[in-house]
Amino acid sequence: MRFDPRLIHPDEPPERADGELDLPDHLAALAEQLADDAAHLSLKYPAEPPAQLSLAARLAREAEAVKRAGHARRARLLAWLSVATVAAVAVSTSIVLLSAGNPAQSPRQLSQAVDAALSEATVPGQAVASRTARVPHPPRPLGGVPGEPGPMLREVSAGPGSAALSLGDLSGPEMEALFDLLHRESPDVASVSF
Amino acid sequence: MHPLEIDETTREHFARIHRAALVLSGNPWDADDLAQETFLVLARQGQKFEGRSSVYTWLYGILLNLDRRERRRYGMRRKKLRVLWDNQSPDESLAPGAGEAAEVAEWKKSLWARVARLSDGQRQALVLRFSEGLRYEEIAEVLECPLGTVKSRIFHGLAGLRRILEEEGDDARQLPAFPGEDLSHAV
Repeated sequence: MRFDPRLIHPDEPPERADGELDLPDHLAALAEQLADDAAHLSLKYPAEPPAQLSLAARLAREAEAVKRAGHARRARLLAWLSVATVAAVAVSTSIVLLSAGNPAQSPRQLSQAVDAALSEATVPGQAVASRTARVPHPPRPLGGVPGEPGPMLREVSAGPGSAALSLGDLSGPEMEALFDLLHRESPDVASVSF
Repeated sequence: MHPLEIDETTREHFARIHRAALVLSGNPWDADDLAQETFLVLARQGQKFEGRSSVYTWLYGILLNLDRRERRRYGMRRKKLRVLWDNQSPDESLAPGAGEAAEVAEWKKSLWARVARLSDGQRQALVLRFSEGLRYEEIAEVLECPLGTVKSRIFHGLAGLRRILEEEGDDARQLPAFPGEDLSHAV
């Protein structure tokens, strides 16, 4: 069957010259009746502005307050995050700088230092005087020089007597205990300085 | 939008939004809810209003969206209740269901009850044009469609309304049944 465009009704409604719809009489009457019905319903069931207005106003104020509180909370959170970020960066940078300044802080370097110390300690009578070890610096004696700097740790020359210490005979926990003792300030050690 | 502006807007436009809500919903209780919710949206999202259109066309847009959402919910509720309804005995099913809409008698007798059976687009265009008296351009703005579509929806909505009346077998002279009303203009 051949397509006949006349079977399709045009969707364009009829219009007048002024752009208004050119409604047939029966549709115009319906339109007028719709307006009348709407007006009648509106008169029969009028809006109650006081209650509605107070509710809407309260809701508006509450919404505004909630919005302001949300903004303030977000601002505080952002400030806290900024401070935390800066602090984290500062701490990380400090750790990195300290690690770079003190190579013994690296676990690998620490183990290398321990290995070197072990090898030197197990060879008796070899350059003992030139070996250095980190020992706790005793508190300044009462009769000491007031202007003398007093780092907690200082490098001291090991005496010939200390060469008798054989670190190779120590077990792991014993080695840790030894390091702890060396790094700890002890009144006993301080008394040695006298 | 500042709270004071919201107060002023509410005071100025609440009545017209409530009237449209009443025509759409068919009862004053749902109309109250719809109108209040419209202004609640205004209070919450007033800052989104950019002032490129009139405030009331923006409010009508909110109202129509809310009405569409309510109708969808109502349809789903009816569908769920239909399952229970089908399982009831015929005697029990004579009573009105809980999911039945509570339209007031005045609305049921009016043409707007028939308009409610039209498609969403035609129904909304007829409400905005003949209840609210908006211009075609304003309706196009609210419904976000071309001007020609608005005119087409209004024209075909009226034609559809006429068909519904004919199907009901009603004489237009018997519509609407408000006492003391001049019906001489009715076809």
